[in-house]
Amino acid sequence: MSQFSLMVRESPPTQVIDLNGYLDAHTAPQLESAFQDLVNEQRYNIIVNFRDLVYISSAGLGVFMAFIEDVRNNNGDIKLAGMSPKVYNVFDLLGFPMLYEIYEDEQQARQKFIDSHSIG
Amino acid sequence: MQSHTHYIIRFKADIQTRTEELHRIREVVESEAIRFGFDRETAFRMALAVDEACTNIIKHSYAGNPGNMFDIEIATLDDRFIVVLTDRGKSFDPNSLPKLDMKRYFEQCARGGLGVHIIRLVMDDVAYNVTTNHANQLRMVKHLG
Repeated sequence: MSQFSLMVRESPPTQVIDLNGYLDAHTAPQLESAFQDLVNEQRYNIIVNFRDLVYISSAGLGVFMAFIEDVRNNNGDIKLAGMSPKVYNVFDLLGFPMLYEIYEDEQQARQKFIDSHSIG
Repeated sequence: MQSHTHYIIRFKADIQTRTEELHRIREVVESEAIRFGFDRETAFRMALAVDEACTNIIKHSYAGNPGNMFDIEIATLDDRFIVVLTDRGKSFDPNSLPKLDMKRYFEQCARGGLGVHIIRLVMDDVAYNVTTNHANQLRMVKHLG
């Protein structure tokens, strides 16, 4: 049974990671590896699209913590989009909205990247 | 309080120390919690808390070594939903960790410790002890209502 899958695609000026299924200690290494590849390629404008994600545990949250500093130090960001109420509740439970920008959908997150680039 | 005055074991299983097992454990906890009367949102969080506790056993007590087993028991007593995890790996008392200050956690871009924080936020009582035959036992309780 495939519990989790992800896909990375380009949506200039951003890279979008689409998540699908269950993100836990078993599947988080896949996301970690996707982030590592993007950072290695110096792609720092990252949107994570949660639209098809049904579950996240702290192992998944830990991946965002692992890369946020590096990405922001390179003038990028990790913006999160399209969470179901269930998944949002896990982020909210731990106060993650303090550290991460969370948007209704991918387009809003992308627009935010475009706006910040045109200003800065 | 007439219906649940006995300690009733709802589920009991030996679980392999593999992260593949987490999915099945969550499903059992969530469905048993709903059956006991918790709303879906609370049941979802309880499954998350138990996932975190099992992940810690698999990753830390057994250092990710998949060849071991631990035990899960789900029981109810009065208004209490009780999950007991028993392992024979490295002892770790989650109550020994200080309470997380998330603002500071984010400022330092820290890692780790989130699982225990979730368990404490979701469950009402978290007790840890080492039994007389050297097993580690984590008992998590959530009250209905």
